[in-house]
Amino acid sequence: MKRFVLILTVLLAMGTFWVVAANGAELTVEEIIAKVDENLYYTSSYSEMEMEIRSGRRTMVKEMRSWAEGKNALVEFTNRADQGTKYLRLDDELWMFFPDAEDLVKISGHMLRQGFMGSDVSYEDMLEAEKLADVYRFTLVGEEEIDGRPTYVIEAQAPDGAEVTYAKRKIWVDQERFVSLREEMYAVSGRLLKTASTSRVEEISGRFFPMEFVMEDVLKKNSATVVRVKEIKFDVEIPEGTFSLQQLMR
Amino acid sequence: MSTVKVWPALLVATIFILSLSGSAGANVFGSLELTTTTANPQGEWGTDLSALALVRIREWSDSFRWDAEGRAIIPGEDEQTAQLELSRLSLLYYGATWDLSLGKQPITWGVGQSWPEVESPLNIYPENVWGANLRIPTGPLGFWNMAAAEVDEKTLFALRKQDYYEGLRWSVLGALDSERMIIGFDGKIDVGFELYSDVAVHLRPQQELQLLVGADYQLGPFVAVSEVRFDGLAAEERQKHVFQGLSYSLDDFTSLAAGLDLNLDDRSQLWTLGVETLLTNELTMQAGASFPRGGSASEYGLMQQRGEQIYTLQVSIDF
Repeated sequence: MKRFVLILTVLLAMGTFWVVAANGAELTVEEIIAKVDENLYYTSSYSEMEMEIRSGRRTMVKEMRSWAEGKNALVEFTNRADQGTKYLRLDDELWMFFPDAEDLVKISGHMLRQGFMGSDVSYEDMLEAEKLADVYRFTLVGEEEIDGRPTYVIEAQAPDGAEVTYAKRKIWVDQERFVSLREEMYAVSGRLLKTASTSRVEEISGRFFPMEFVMEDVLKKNSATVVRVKEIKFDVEIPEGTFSLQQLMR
Repeated sequence: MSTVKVWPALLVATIFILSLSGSAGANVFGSLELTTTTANPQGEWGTDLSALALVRIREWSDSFRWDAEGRAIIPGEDEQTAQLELSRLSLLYYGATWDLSLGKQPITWGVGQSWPEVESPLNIYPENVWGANLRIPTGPLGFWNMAAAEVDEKTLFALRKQDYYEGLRWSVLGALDSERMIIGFDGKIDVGFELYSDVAVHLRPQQELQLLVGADYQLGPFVAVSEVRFDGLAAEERQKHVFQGLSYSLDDFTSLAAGLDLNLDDRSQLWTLGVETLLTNELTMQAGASFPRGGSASEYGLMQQRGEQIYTLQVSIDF
């Protein structure tokens, strides 16, 4: 009987190990990234967000709502100080509108590397709309634990000459939910530029989505931006004409 | 109080009231600015305190956007009368294929960065003006403007086309009133730095050319802006100014700025220094100084002789 129990225990343990392996080690790095992309990318969305910009002991809070479809997005600020200020992304280009002066500004070139509304999130970061799998080559370099959650550690390298914001990324992917819990972003030179840490993940419409994350620009001292998603809806119907300068100036 | 056009104000206010029925209510916000100015006119140093209260009301509905802005200027000791000004009262109607804005409003054209020292030649409606501005889109990025607004007690009509092509933002316009006729072109493109230009050709009452060329470049936390304005042909009051601006971001909330306006004719200069910091979400502090320099008969030399060096400290509170 003891031998039977021992054999059964071993078989159960082996079975468990095999299930874990099927969910984890048997996935290729491309499959892991594909699952991350499935969570992050959507046909269209409507969201309401808050951005808390911290620098030293000072804090600035911006509130906004946005509509997004493919590579197009319209962001409107709703906090008092910036009320009515809007951004429009059309493919790889970005415009701003200031209703107080009825002033339309195209953000281009060097301005794209500036922080969005003074934050650690740059305009270039906002323009990123491609799937990771379409831009980078990936290598699974290990596994680590973050806040008690097992993660895959993946390095992503952009091909030489690729037009990307960050030449290299290091991503810690939650093994169960396939969401990035931490990310490091590097320049071509190998210099660490930014880090992002996810502090809250929720399941929405069948996908796991980062609802709160902290972005830090390593080049700035004592600076961090916390982005909180208050509400998000996927695959929403967006009226025709939303992504246009006419709509931006309304 | 500045002149308020009665009938357009009534029209705009009526439509606003009607639009409120379908909306959650107007958004009211604004700011209070307190400024101390230290200057030495006629060689005697003195300090003045003034205040500006600005109130904005903005409301959106599915069909309209309504804007109103009022200012109360409480001057320093030298002036006795407080001024109230209705600086904006406009209604933007969203048509199916066009948008129409009526009332007192900014109509901001031209690509210059609107430094006071170097005016953009195509900014033909220089301040908030009473008028109408019809905008007809021709695609996601292009549109026609037809505007009519009061400038210098005359109605200035203008037709303008703006669009984008291969990264170049361009526009052409024609404008005329009972005395003037202007045609103009502008363009802005990023070539590693931003390069832009305005050209205005005045055909009436006399031929006159106004040209502005500018560049805007950022390197790390530094942003540099240069603009040169040239008025040629038969311009009675020719302007040849070069403006150089440099700003530096200490952090997300604090920036330093320096500027130089150089009069190319008499070589006189106006130097400016400034710092701005956001103390809280609602509180901003700015400090600045300006120093005119030049020969005895020059534009800024005369200011220097009059002792018009100015130091300012301003605190703004947003609400």
